[in-house]
Amino acid sequence: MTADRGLVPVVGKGLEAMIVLLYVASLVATLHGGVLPEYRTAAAAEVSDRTLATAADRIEGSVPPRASTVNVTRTVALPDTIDRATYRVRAADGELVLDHPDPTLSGRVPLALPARVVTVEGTWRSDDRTVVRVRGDDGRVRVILT
Amino acid sequence: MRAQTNLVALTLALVLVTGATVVGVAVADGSLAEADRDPLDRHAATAVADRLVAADSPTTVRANALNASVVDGLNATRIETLAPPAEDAAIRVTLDGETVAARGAPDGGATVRRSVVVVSQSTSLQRTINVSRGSAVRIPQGVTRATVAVDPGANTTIRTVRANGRVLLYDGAGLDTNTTIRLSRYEPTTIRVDPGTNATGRVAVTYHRPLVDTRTLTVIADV
Repeated sequence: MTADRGLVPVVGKGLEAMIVLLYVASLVATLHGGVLPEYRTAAAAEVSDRTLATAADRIEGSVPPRASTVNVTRTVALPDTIDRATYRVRAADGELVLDHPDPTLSGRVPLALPARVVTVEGTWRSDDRTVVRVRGDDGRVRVILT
Repeated sequence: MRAQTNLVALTLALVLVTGATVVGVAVADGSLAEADRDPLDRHAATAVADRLVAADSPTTVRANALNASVVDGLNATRIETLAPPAEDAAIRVTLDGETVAARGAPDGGATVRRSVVVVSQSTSLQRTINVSRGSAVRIPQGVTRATVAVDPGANTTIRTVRANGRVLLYDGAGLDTNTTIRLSRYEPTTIRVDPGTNATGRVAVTYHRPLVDTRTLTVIADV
């Protein structure tokens, strides 16, 4: 009888500890399993959109007013990774395309450039140098992503 | 009894932690939703505004000066050709609140404003220099082109036409011509002729005076 009474607080504390552990485990599982990946995807989608819009803005802003010789080299800052993966930005058919391993984070946006820009070509790798070059003369201008 | 008090305290603590977590997640959700600035909407609106006011755009006479007659004929399809980011977007372009071109309902999209001048051409004005009186014609500032028609009278040789003292037209054998001249739009120009004594005839100067109106160009785009 006396020995049983001595066990009561030990068992009680043990149960309490178990409940707290179970609770913390379930909380961590919920946050990491559901909420966190969802946020990560939402934030990555936003970063992807912004990267594309910023890159397009920079390229459009690099084309100077009409001049007899055009020679512009400008570095464009892009995030190294989106959702912990490197990506590519390339020009295709007058559009800027972001190629990400995750197709939901890829996207494309048309470029607004003056009519004298004859070609936009090249590819940027996010973990490499991202430079836009604009070369040309009065009538024809080429935009190259390197 | 003491053990049960502990259990109540524990339950209360767990409820409080749960509550804090729920509130935290709700706040994070709100911030994430608020952080969505629609960068593609903004890009489309900026692109349209920039292409509309660019110096080499078909809608302008120079940078930030819209050509009124072209702006009147503007529609969503033409804007799309100028600025491809507006493709398939709901868009509205207004000048001082007056709609120039619209498609769909872009409310909720990004808004971009630019201060512009709208230039329209007046009907042509003609001023005449009476050579025998040696008068002059003053062309107001803002005119970039004028037509000078020299028509000397009998027994008269007009050799020189001057604009602000600088020689504009010269022919040693005498002028009898109809020429378009380029003027600085930053200052008024005075056109004079150098007649000999007893000269007759007339020099007609024809120009269009641009009517300039400062307006706010607003572009709303929702991709």
